[in-house]
Amino acid sequence: MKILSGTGFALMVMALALTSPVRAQAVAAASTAVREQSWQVAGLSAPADILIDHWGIAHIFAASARDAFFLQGYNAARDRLWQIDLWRKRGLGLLSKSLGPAYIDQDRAARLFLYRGDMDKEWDAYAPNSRTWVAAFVDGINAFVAEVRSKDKPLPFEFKLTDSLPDTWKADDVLRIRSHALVSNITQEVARARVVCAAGLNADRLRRKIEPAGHNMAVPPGLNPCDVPANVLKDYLLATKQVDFNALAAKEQRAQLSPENELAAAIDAQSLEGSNNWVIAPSLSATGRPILANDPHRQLGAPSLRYLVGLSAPGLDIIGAGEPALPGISIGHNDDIAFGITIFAIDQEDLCVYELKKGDPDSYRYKHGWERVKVVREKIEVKGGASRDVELRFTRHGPVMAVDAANHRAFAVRTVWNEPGLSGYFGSARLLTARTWDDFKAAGNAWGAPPLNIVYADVKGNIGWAAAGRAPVRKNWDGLMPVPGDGRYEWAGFHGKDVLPSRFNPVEGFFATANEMNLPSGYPNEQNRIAFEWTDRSRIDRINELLGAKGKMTLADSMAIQTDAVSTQSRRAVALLGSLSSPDAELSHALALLNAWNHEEGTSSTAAAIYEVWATKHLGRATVARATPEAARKLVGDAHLAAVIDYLEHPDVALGADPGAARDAVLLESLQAAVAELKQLLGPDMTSWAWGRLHHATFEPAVAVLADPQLRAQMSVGPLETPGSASTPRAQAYRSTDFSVITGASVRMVMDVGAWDNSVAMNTPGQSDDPMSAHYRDLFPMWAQGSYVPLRFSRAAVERDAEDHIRLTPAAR
Amino acid sequence: MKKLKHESELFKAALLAGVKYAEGRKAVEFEATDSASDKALYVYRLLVHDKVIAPMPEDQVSEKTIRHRLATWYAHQLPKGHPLTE
Repeated sequence: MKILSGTGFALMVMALALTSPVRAQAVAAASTAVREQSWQVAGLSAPADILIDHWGIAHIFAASARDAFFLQGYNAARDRLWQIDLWRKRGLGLLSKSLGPAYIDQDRAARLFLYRGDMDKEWDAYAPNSRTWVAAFVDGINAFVAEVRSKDKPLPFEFKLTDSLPDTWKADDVLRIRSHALVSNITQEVARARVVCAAGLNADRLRRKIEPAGHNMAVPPGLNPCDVPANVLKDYLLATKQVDFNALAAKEQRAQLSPENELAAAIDAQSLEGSNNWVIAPSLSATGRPILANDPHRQLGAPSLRYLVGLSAPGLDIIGAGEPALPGISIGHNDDIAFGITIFAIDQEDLCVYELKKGDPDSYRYKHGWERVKVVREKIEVKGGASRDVELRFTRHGPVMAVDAANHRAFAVRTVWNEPGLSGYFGSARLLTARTWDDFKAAGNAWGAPPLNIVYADVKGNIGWAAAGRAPVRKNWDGLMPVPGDGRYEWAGFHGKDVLPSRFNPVEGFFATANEMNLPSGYPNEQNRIAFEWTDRSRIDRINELLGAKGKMTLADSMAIQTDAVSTQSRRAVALLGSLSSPDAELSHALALLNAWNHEEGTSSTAAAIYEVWATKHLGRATVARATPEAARKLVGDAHLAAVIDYLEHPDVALGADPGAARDAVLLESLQAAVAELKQLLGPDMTSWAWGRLHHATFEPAVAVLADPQLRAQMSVGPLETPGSASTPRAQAYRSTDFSVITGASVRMVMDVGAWDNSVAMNTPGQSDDPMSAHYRDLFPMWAQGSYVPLRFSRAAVERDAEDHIRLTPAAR
Repeated sequence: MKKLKHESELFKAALLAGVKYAEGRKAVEFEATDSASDKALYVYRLLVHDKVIAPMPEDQVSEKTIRHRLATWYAHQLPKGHPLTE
């Protein structure tokens, strides 16, 4: 063959070593040919275009907002049909119909948390055009599903693996599903009740840090914490978990976790999820314009939880990231403003404990009488078998989770999910057309769930922040423990719009959030009781340190902060070791490495490996073993590292007569245990230890367990070594059993406000959920390196970077 | 790796289409002495490079897997009801 010169590919063929993903990526961008396609789409009103850029980002240009949302749904199905179909079936409790009887319990649990209120009130709670937009979005999904079902478009092979087909959607489906939104704190309430039952309130102090400081927890009068069984949240955890295909793959079910361990695992998973965002004012920006950065830290995997997309139509110009099953975006910008989100920890859940009437378990005590449990009977269709009749029980507060017949107790969840206007992230519909700070504030005031810190920047140079979310009014308790459901503890409505804090054009010239306790000094939280459980300050302290360090910040500076791997938490923990020594040579060497460390958790860092294994696997447990009553130790487990470090900085007599000496012994013993574990993991030569040898990213979709080995390999992404941890701005929280990264920033965005085409983004491992697509894993190596791709906005810029142009015309129905 | 029905025929058609694509793109001129496996390897690499198809894990790239990959790519482009996909 004769290789022709002048093409990027000619260079590649001459050096066939260019086949690793990283280097192949480098040459791929050289290709400038645009593939043209013409599709006819039933349901589209007027001709439109989808331009797909080199990085798989779809930019939709339509003749009307209705068509833009229609094509958002159509395009989401084009790129993510398996993912969004599974999202809907999981949320509505329809898995058994497609996948078989192994999912009946999960379906029943999911149905307990569907919105069951008045749908007109529900629709009225969102932006005025919401109903039209959602209907169009769903019509677009259904148009693509129809093409798949008629074999005009290929059926994604995941459906073949599961012998299932995609369903058609109704607009109400999008809003009725609530269980994808991150709300809290019911798992903490149950875990706390269990600890308090075992050993009293003080035993809980290492399990979870309470903020603001000075709050005194109390057991709500009338509650017996020992009434709360370990498995009370079984249905809640089932309703909120992702779909697991092991039941279809294995002949035998895997061993189940104990209820205590299942609860602890859920709390761990929730506490690892978070986000960073910040805004920089023109006065501190090298561009002279605001910069807005956001990187949400959620479960990492393949495909990405989120999807980048642009929608352009008369009156609507937006680009950014959202969950692909939802219309619009939740992070991004329009022509005038940019917005980004992190979780703000409003307590939106409570566990209610009921006394049941003896001889009538469907009656519970309420005030001076007895109320009947409402029983809803539903039929669950089951693939390959008879449908199953199930009963769903509800008290006046919410779905019944468990009944303890022997002790005449029942337990129900009260959650904001039951209220109109609480569909997760759909409050962002108001942000899409916001033009000013006042519009933005109005959108924030109407926001329901999840509770958020929303940062703001506009093309006029203003920046700001607003906490947002439906906040229950608890007049007589703090929300940290379950409460009797007999009428003594009722939500007295929700806080009004002026109660949550906000700032406009802060004097510092920047504002950042990272899920930390950020109620302003003097905020009356003891009165308002917004929340008492927050993420530790490690990420926010480092972000503020970097934002405050330079005179003028560039976009690249924000990218560097998003991928910064310095742990300020480790500074505090290692400072405790500062004066300690050991006659043991290995321990002495480990101490020296830690004390000389710059606290950057790079992949080649030995000190980072020692710190992470010590801090996350040994320090907490060793402290609990000394400072927590024996009856509660197992329940407190590895404890909350932020609480442990606080405690070790100020040890008390729970450690013994000489708390300082006992603290030092805990530190050295736990560090020695970490060194011993690292010898097992990485060998005896400490100089060869490196954080990247342990800490890695490997993503595999859940359905891959059904694939043959070659297909499974095609679906798997990674492994690649990654820096950072849960305590660094580059959040890369990992599973302690194998150090595999499980949560972090799948999406990163840095927006140049007003010069929008300069903005950049990342979405790992790629935009598509089809492992055969070129955009399934193409962004993964760049993500691991901390690189970004352009996030073009203007049509001219998009056309310059386009690799596919799909021309769409209306088809006869 | 589950073999496709009509995989051999699909591969032959895929190779023809791939050669046409590569030459039409002016990346290469194949010669009569080029073997089918050389052409298939080249076409596979070019399609990956152009992001028409996704790369396989490099340790799994072999003549057999390339034939399967190209056959799968071609099958996806056939209209519904085509005899090779029935």
